[in-house]
Amino acid sequence: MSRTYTISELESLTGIRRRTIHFYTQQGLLPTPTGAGGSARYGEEHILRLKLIREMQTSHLKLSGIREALDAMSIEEMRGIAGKTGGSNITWDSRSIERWVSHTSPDKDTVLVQGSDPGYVVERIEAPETTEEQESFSFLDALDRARSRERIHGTDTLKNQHPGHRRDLPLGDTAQWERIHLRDGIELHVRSDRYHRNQRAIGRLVEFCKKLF
Amino acid sequence: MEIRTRFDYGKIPYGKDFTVRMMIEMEEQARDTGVRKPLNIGLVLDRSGSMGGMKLHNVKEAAKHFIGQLADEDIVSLTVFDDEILTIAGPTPAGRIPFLNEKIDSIEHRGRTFLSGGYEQGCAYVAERMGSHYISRVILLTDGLANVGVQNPGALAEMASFMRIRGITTTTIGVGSDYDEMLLGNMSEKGGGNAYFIEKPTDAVEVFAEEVGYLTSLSATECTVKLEPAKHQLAYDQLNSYAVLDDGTWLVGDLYSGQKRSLLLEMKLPAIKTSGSVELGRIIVTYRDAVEHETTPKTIHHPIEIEVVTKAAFKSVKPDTTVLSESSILMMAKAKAEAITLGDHRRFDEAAALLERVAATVEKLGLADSRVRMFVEELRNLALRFRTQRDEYYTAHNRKRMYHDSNMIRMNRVESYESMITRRNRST
Repeated sequence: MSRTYTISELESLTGIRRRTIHFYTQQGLLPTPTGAGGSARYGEEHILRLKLIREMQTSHLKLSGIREALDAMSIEEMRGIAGKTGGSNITWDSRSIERWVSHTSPDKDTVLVQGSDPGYVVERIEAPETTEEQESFSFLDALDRARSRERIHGTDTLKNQHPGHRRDLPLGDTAQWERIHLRDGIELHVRSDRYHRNQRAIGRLVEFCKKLF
Repeated sequence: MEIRTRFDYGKIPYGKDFTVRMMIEMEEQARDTGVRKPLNIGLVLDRSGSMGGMKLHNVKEAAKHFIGQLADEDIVSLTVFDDEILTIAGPTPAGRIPFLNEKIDSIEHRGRTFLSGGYEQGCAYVAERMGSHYISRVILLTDGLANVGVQNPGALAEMASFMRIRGITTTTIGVGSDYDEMLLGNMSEKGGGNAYFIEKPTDAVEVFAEEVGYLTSLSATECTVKLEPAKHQLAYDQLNSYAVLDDGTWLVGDLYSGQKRSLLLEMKLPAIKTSGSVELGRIIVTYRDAVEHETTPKTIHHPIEIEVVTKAAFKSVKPDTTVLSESSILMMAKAKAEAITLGDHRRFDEAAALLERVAATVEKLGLADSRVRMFVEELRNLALRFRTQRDEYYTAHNRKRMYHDSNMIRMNRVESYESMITRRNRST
């Protein structure tokens, strides 16, 4: 079984403060550790990623760009690069990041990385078979967005309604709701579609709430 | 039963959150043996005042035809209700009901709608003979709103759910424009049966024939599907609208001989940092064999695996368009159900905008499937009617059409949907 480290050990090994490590985890640059709180354990990948983040930052790259590059690497690749860094001849500029994101495509075909602030510019030479839109597409989220937009713009269109119409009637008032008993006199109500979609998260929420009372 | 799974993206990129759709197909092989479990049917018919005229006449003919299709070993009871409950025939082997046609002919319309009373009586008759060697079902037909006895839609749906747990499934048939389609839809959904809409009285015989056709060729009953993910971060939900049991199991219902039914799940996968084939979990399908005289349900475990490839390799991955097309159709059916909710609040412009937006989203996917194109066109037409005709279009009758169209697609009752559309097109 591979060696694991506490947050203190990780701090010592990398020289990066724990608050910064937690921040990187929140930003998705580091995988979530196993365990929580004091029992959180980190592994080799955390050390490698932290080492590479530091290297890339010296080239003034933005975090979102670093994240994309790290996500494109396998752990073997990270080992290889991290072993060479610290005095190696690797320059972490937008071009080298781009190569990782596009995974060193021999024809220099590149991909367009979505995001408001990618940290680097990559041009698309040829449209790929699968677009980034298809990658991130969710039918359920698309329907959610369509619904929420109706709510946002609802008041405008209601001007055309008949005078007797109730403007304040919520859209979801015919929806089915799940009642979850927490403690005596305390219940959690979750709309059924949401409940079935996020059962595990809601399970954790229930456990958390039960601890509060 | 054969289980197959297919993803729209069977290969996903390394180290990246990714959303995929997985289609779980359940297929019963065609069985031509002619052997089947006997049926135990409780036929419950509304004869309240509003059923008068051609409605009752056609329903009576349909009931005679239905019973005539049953085999001698099948059991059937016939109950009618207005504000009272009347037994036309207690549970009796079909074909041995004395003076059946005369008794049915003598049914006359009268009174109010004691739906829960009629339903309970029908269930009680089925319960008298039920057992694992029978396929037990109550078929409830009504044309109006329950106004005597239990009237709460939720309570009636729970009654149907309770009966299903006891082994009695419920099929509902709505006639005309005045019944509560949500109520009957929920009863059949939770009751594990089918839901039909008789748009005009002359459709009654055909609808009953369809139901008896399904019942006499059933191959698997009480089919459920459950997903057990290997990764805790896996978020998923169905794109269909099958009833969800307390433990998250989806109730798919019955499969007849040669039928294929499917459940489509959307799964949000966390960034996976392992290359090659990765186990996502397994699906567990349970069902009862409708032919063999076994008492215990059968269970199939089916592993779910997906391949993780480099981003470069992912660029050449082409999605399975069948899964994308089915997902699109289900999303459009869901949008139609949402439009009903908006229409009920007379928010017609918003309903139209929602339908147009969903149609545009699907169009952007550029799918060549003709069914998808047809549904997109239908959504746009519906949006146009909402915008221009408003109340004039959103009648009780058209609402029922929308509801059943959406519901049958989301419940993957493709054959019933097509039969319904055929009947509708024949009449227009």
